[in-house]
Amino acid sequence: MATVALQIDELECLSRTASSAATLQECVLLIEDSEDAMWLVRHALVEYGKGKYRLEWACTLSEGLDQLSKGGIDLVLLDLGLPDSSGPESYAWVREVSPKVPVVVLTGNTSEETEFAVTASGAEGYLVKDEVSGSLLLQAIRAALYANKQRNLRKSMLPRLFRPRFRVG
Amino acid sequence: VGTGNDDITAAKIGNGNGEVIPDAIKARWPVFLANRWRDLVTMQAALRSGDFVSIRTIAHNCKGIGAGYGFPEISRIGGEIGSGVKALDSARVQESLGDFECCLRDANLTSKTTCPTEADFR
Repeated sequence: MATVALQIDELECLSRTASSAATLQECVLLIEDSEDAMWLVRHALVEYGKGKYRLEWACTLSEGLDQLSKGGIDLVLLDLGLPDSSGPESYAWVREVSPKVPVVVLTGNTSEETEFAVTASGAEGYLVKDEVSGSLLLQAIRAALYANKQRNLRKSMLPRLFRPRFRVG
Repeated sequence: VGTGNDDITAAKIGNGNGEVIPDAIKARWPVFLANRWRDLVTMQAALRSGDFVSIRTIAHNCKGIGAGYGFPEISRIGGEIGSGVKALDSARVQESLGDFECCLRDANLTSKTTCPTEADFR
């Protein structure tokens, strides 16, 4: 009986470890209509992400917004040429639904106006598909997540910094 | 776009960033190329009906992913088709679609995958 109990404990422990590893992974939502492009991103995350990232895929903007509204997404990789939306408008929709999640644009659109419009509105990165390698994509993802964490940390510290330290009277 | 050496095969099978194409990506070549043949047929039909928007969308996608799969020529010609569409130049788009077809035949040869026949698209 003791042996069986130990085995069950081990199994529970293993299952807890597996589920905590899954929750430690950061969830990247790719909003992209091309399945071939999705495979490239998926491969880059596996190859260079060292198991730290989990990929969710939405092939339309509306599907992506649905997933975003459910929560649990740490970063959005956004294509700007989608069947139901295109250009900076797609970015604006993502921001509207999820203002705190960092967004890295991954697009074939090389227009400087589009890049400016999107980055000026707060996108964490603007990558051109045929110019970016898997390792550069991962660098951009890491940098965006780091910058977002720092920003959130600063925001959470502001109320403490401005709290009055001495009471008068 | 090449990898800087004289080996034609190596020059074609590279993503233009000097990175070797991983086996996991190579394993998807048959699907990837079949999808591009489907794109070609769709773009040819769209050109006949004057639907430049559809051509631009498909060409844009080809430009974005060709190099990632090890076919920088697909990306380059995708860009050419896009430029033809922007100029609303049907003859130029037609010519680029011809180049695209040749490129796909080359890609099937170098990657040792099979070209689809017309029957595959019926």
